[in-house]
Amino acid sequence: MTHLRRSFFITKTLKPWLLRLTGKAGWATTLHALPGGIAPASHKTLSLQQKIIRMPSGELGLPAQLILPLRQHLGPDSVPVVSVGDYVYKNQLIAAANGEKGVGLHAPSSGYISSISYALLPTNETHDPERSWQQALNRHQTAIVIDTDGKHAIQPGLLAANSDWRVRSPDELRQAVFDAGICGMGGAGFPTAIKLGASAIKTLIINGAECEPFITADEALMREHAAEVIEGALIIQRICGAQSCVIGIEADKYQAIDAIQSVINQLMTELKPANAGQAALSLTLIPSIYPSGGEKQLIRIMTGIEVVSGKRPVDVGVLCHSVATARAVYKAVIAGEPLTSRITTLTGHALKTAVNVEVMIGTPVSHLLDFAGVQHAKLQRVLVGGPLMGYEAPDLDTPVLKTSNCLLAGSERDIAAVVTQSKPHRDCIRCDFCATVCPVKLQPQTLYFAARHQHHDASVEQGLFDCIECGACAVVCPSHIPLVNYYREEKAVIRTDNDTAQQAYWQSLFEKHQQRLSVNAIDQQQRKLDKLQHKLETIAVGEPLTKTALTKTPVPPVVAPTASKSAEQIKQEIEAAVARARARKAELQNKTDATQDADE
Amino acid sequence: MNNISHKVSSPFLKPVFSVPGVMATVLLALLPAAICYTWFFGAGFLINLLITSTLGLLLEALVMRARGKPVLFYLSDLSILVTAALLSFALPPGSPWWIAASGIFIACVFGKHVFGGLGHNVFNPAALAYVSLLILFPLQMTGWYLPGSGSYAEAPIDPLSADGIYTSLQLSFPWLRDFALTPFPVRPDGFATATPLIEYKFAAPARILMAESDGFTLWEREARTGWEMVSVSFALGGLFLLWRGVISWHIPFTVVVVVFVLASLFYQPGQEAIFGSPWLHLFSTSTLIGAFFIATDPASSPSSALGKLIYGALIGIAMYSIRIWGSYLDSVALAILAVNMCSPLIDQLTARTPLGHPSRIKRWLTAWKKAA
Ligand code: SF4
Ligand code: SF4
Repeated sequence: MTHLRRSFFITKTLKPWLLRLTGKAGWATTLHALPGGIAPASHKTLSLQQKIIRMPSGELGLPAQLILPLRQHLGPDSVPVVSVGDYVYKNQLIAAANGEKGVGLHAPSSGYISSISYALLPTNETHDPERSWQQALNRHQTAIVIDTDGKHAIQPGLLAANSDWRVRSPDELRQAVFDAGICGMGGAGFPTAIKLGASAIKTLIINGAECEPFITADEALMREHAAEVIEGALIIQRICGAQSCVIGIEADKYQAIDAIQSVINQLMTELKPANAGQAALSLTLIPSIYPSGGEKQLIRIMTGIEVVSGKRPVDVGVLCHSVATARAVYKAVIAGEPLTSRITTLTGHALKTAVNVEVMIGTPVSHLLDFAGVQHAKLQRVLVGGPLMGYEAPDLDTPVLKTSNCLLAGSERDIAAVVTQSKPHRDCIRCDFCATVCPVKLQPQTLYFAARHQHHDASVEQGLFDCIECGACAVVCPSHIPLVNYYREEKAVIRTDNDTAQQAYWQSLFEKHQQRLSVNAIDQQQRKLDKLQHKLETIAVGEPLTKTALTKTPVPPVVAPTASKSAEQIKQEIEAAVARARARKAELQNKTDATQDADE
Repeated sequence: MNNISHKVSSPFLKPVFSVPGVMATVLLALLPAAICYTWFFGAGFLINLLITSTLGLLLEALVMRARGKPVLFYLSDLSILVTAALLSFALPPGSPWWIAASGIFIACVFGKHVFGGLGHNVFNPAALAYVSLLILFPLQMTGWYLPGSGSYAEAPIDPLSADGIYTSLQLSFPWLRDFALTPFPVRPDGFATATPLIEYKFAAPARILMAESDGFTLWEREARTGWEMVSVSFALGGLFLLWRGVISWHIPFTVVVVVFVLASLFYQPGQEAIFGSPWLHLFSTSTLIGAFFIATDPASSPSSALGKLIYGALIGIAMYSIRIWGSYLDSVALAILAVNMCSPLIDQLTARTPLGHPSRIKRWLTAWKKAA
């Protein structure tokens, strides 16, 4: 029997304080308790038994196809610079960044471009029948598909970068990051180069918290590549000019902490005589409570700064990057390698082996699941990301993206069974369990009423857009209300309502469509008129006239049926029809004119 | 290729709690008090509980049917059982059956469904029913007829013996007397007093001290410490709820502290008869069931921590004031009903500030400046 933990006082405050008193290394000098939070079963040991398996290797081969969507980041889609049939080498640029705010895309392996077409992407949008047309547009992204040739060939003549980054200027380094097509690898995929361009950064926080259950990609990375992460952090620090750099890790990741700490110690002893300024690099342990790894949450825990609603952390002089991004920066600067692979956790109780893999971006999910031995009988859903903030893979050919840190093949033990959707939820009993766990100090129950009844002003006022969609409230709600779904829907409605440009666009599409319809109708009447006119003319010339003669497919002229009407009768009928058609056309014309007038 | 449905979005983690689970926890927390109550005051409580629960379930089903909602789905939330149990604690054991029946009717229909069902009720249904009964049937609600009532009875009957239970049944269903071989006298030769729920307003024997000086242990019926022991078991149940996280500490804590502080302020040794000692206020009355079980009803109490503190303090003040200066028969239920009405306003004024928003004081200041 579980019980609701209303206070994490011991974990959040007392224990850190006591440990600090006893002089235990790593606990921050000032630790600010995060409100709320939950402590779900972590299931992390599942995927930490083995070391990271690299692709391609004996165990894990290259997939036959790599699917690379043009939008894996926040911002404008990348622009393809290759065409179907081209041969591309590994690390070759295949889609260029669309302007300053874009992110480039590189080939993870060598092969031929087999198509540039639509692919289905996982997105975190709720199913909303009224907006399905928008979602259809969002879900289907253009993707470049590479048929791999297995050679993994690097373009001949590609030079390795200058490895001594300490002599290169920050701008040069930032350019290197931009060229490598790096975007935030923890969640939203914000272009890293833009983030690094911010000025007046005081503190750099490297996020190694990884608080969601099941995911261990960052932990495995720190455990095995601590030196690269630290070096990457130092490069980032040089680019953004932060005075101090703090790495935040959840206190129960012992091996990762040891690895990082030993690298830092080593660095300190090396650097001390030469460069004392670089010494502002430290490790901070944070209590393991979900969701301490959220950007604003981590900043609050480690610095005590509350990022003002609607602002970004850079506005208060704090920059936050994940450890995976730090390592990507390291690889880009030291080895000149673009971002073409990432560490992803394959986990869940529907897999035979749970393990961390370093995979090519674009690898289909099915390839990885086959490798990990998926048991379809147990499988409920495949999630991209963790069980709390991840989203469902729309199908098993979905590729791994730059932001996919975990593939969770969930059995019934791990996640809610698929049938829960059709189950009605109970009414809110106002138990305030949700408010107790909300890390943003929202009141999810009142927000729920506002969102559900689409009281837009009330929702916004109550902080709808401060909700980080962490899902803690929905997990503890005894009425099983899908709270986050309601919030997401409300956010989407408000965003579309506010987005006048978007609205104008849809409006113009709609108007064009209407216009086309009316033009078609007028044309139709015109055609009818023409036809009738033609008929009249034929009668005038006195050709034998039957109904069949007037049909579109001419049949051999037949002898006029005995029951045929007289030419005069037919002529009258046709004239009446002409009058009708004229009237209809005029009516339509008037209507169109009227709408156009109204528009003007 | 396996196509997987994508209708649901995150979180995908299984929900941890359920409404039936929460309600069952509350029922479990009431168990020690129920045992204690039956031990001291006889089977009358169980009879009331039986009547209220069965009738409650029936009524709930009917109302749900009438409202066109799935009956079983809503019955299975067990909330009506919690209401029934709380109401049964408030009814005097030995009151006729129709008291319990009309009580649960009022609670279910006027306390709950008139407002829209569980979670929408403005008043606590059990408290509303109890106060209505007090007004409607003051006579039946104030007499306590106990089968065996310690030293008062000529020939004490053990309330839990067969005789005692039979007497209790006769009390609840008066027509049983017509069939009885040895009919129970109409005016029970038992023990009639103001119910402990209706406080001993001006007479306050220091029962525990007395019991001890008389050489009784507190759990003996003859010690006449029944209501104190029931209060203690309510407190135990309340602590259990706190530990499970079903209720937060704010409301019970402030209610108890405010009542205790007020009682200590006004109490002068020697004036038990007028103000009652603080211990009397806490343990010899229904303060504790009110603080832990009725005031904490989530639907009718505010949701923010600050709001809860204010709400609890108001209840404490109202309880003490009504008890000492008011002329109503009961204070706890009335105090809670009165403050229930303030709850939406408190909620509005104390809505907590999300992180990253200006604090409440800052908001007030800017509003003030704008107005000036
Ligand atoms: S939304 Fe759920 S958790 Fe929140 S108060 Fe309502 S029932 Fe409780
Ligand atoms: S999903 Fe939003 S409302 Fe719910 S707990 Fe997280 S931040 Fe709070």
